[in-house]
Amino acid sequence: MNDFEWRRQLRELRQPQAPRRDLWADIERSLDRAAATEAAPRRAAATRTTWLFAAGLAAVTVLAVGLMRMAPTAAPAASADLASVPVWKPDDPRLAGAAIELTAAQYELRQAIQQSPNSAALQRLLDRTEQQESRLRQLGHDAS
Amino acid sequence: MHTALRYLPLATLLYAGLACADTPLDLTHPATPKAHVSISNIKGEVTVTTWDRNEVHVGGSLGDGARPLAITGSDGDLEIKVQAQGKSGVFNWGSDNAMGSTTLDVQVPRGASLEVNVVSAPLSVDGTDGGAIEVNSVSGKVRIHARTPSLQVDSVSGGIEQSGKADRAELQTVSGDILAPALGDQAKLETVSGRVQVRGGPWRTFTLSTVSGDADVSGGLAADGRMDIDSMSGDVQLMLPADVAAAIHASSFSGDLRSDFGKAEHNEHGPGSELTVQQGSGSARIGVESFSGDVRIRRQGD
Repeated sequence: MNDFEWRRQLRELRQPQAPRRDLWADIERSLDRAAATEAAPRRAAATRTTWLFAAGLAAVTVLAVGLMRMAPTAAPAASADLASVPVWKPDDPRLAGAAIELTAAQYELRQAIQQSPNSAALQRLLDRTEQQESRLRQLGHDAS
Repeated sequence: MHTALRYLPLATLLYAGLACADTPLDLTHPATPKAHVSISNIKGEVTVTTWDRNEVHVGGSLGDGARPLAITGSDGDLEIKVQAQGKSGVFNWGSDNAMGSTTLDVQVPRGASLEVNVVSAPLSVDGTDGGAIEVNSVSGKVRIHARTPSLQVDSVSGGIEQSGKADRAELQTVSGDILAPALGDQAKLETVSGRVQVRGGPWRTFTLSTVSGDADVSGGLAADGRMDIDSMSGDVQLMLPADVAAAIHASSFSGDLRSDFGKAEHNEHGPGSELTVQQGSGSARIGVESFSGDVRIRRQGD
């Protein structure tokens, strides 16, 4: 096996694994329990902590405002782009898999563009992926 | 009377079996040597072969629930279209639940051009010579063995296999693999996650874009040819002839970039590596750009 093939196989292992059941309910319960048990013995130090917290918050606010003024204006727009990737869910099962692929690809491409905003190749790939989705939407329309 | 009643269930079953049975096809239509033949099938299989007659013949079997099939059109422009009963529309392939699989064995003149629309039907084209081929497929595999001036295949999840010779090829999939070892001087390939393995050239223009599918490209460029390969996370391996004459520019944001033609330089301020090298004296240009996929540019024969 050559180096290229080895790396390719290694990359294929890097797939997201979904848990077999919803873990969020247990996580939330555990967090609530932890918060409740920690709250009681700390009442005595509450006043001092409150003042420290307020001071910390003020410092963070000043820092955040400063960073927002320094940051390029494109960053918030890119974040908005990521959140606004439209999800297409065709009824036909033969198109549903392709729709998931295309949505995931567009999401990943937008993430990559955030990291490398000057890449013409990534922008071309995103454009082509969007064109493919348009073509499939038309196919889905023809199917009904 | 009792005997008749005894055999009634059997007779009913036999009748039902006959009613559901596929209908054998045996249709013939005169055709010009370079006729344009359009074929549509939703579910089943399509096989196109050639013969030395100026006729189009359709064999195979028509699935239950399909309208009676006919070859329509003129001798120079024929249409074979499988449709579900009671449905209308341009293609209407969502109606396939009401229809059984149809197998089309189509024989066409060797010089015919083809336009084929299939959904869940594998397509095989074998032996056409000189006519353009255009295919739209959803999940069926597409296999083309032909000499054609123009090959265009759009597929969703079905793979594409090309052989013979395609002077100009445009092959596109979402997740289907592309295997094309005989691409002519113009090639345009697009995939999202399919694997691409292509050979051919010398190319005047070669364009490949892949989001996450790996690509293996082997071939040279014409004297003033242009090659552009874009990849996001797919690995790219490009094999070039040892005597390639071209300006090569390759870059990767976070992937590993290696080349037998010069050494890739790492950016001083930030991630990424880049290779810019003039090989020989030709005016051809090669551009490879990847985001996180690895790039290998190899010399053939090493």
